[in-house]
Amino acid sequence: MSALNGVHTDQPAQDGEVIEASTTEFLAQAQQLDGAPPFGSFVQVATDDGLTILGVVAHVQTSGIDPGARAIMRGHDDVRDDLIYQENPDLPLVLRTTYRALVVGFTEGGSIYQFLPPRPARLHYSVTQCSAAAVKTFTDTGLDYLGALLAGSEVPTDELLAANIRVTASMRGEPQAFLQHAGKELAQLLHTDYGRLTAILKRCVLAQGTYA
Amino acid sequence: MPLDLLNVSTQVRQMGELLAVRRGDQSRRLELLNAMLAAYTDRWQDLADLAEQVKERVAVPTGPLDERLPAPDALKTYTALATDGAEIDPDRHGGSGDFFLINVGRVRIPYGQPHREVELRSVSSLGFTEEDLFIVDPRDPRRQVPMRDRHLDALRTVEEVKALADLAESESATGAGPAVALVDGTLLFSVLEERPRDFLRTRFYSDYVAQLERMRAARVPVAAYASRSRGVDLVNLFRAVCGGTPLACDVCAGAHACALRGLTDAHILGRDLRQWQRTGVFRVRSNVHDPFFGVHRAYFFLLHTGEEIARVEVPEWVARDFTMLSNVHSVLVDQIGKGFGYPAVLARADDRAVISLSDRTVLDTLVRQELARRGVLARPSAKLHRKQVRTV
Repeated sequence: MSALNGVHTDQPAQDGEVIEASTTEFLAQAQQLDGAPPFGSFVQVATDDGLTILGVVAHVQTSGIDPGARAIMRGHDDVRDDLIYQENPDLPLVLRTTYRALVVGFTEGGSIYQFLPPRPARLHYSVTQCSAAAVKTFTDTGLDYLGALLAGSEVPTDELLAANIRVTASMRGEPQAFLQHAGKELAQLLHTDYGRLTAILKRCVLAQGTYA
Repeated sequence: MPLDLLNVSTQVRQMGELLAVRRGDQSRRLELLNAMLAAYTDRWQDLADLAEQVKERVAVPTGPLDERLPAPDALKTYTALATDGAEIDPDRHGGSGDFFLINVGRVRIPYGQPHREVELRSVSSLGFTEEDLFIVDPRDPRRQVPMRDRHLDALRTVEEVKALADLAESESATGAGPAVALVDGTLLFSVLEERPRDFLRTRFYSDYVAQLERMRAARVPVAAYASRSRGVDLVNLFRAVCGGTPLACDVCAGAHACALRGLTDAHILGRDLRQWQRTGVFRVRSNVHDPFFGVHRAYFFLLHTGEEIARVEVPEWVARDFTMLSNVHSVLVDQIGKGFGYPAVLARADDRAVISLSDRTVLDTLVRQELARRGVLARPSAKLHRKQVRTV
């Protein structure tokens, strides 16, 4: 199951592969072009030693595989959108979609921890989207991870928080209760910045009310 | 900064002036040639007869000089095949053993066939055995020529066309629609020989022609594409016509230099060519290549791509087959459109072939590690060491 900015679909989760990893985040390449998990959703990387690292998708990018090769406009006459891909079947092999996930916690020996893991994710290991059950279990233990999202650098932090809360609320199947819980957690984190708190909460409620 | 930019910039300015004058001079000389071209436009058979008697490499016309063919209808489905290569020469100074590396990018793109897979691959091979590193005269094993520089270029060219023949054979086996195989540059690659009737040409050209034969058997037309051609085969023929003696020449009328000097076939044939049109087909008569190439003797036509005039070489069996030649023309038009001026499939092959500086560093490290593991000391020459560790 995956969710598109809070909208449930029954499409199977897309797998990716870790291509850069550090203690605080990892970069994954999606198996399919444009096949990244939704912004704000939970993903996980399992390692061989029983450690499973959880992250939240914080940035998605599609560009040329070769860093020196920039995509250029290819549409002409009536050839637009998907027709461009049909006309240039080699494009999916020279373009790629990557996504950056902020590490928000890990599981080890059946226990869940909402702080940074002892080791980063392993390069070339699979990245999968977390199931609804895994998201519920992780968020049931607390919402301390929201602090990690708030501390993320070079990501649209407020948008990321709102997106994660929307996606999580929707996946847990009890949107209103979770929104209230998350709202309280956010209020503690942002008690000195009422304006910012309100702006984030508005994005959660608006999206939830409209789409869920 | 070792470059004396102040000095160079003055020279660049002087060069600019000279180039501008030369460009003006070129158009004036083309005007001079008009009469000669007009005289021979329909007398192409006379030219062809003359061409057979000339020693130099020349173009032999196979039809009127002003023949212009528009692009055939686009093929709805076709498969484009291409290979391109790059090499790392044995490094005399590196000290990490004698080896060379050839990297061939091989690409197959089926257009209009969504069920088929695109193939973009690099095939890298290291040459390190005695047989790899020396070309031995089969008649006299004492004669050995190291595989480097121009000879390694020739080997790379053979490897490119071998990979292309592999692609063509597998494509032919699928029974899919028409396919066209492309390489960058020329079919008429050069092999430097140290003395007449040397073994080097036999070695490279025989291997090369064997690959062309595989493509002929697979019924996949092959073409070599040269962007902004500087070919002068037809110019050479006209030089033979006028004798190349400006003082006695009707065209140059006693001028100090030949009117054909510095001109290319594209200047002469390409002037009134419109976008996507091609010229007629010319055979290249080359005393060096013809004895080896046989039925694969090279023909060429010029193609106007909108931005420039490209030269396309095909073997005789493609030049004489209307459908194959038409497919090559049609596919090139589509490919150049898709690739914004250069065939898209060749660009992909080039992407896969190119060896970056970081690739070179990784290879060097791998070799050093392996040698170190086996207790072989890999020391750069004193000269390279001096370049790597600069002292004051």
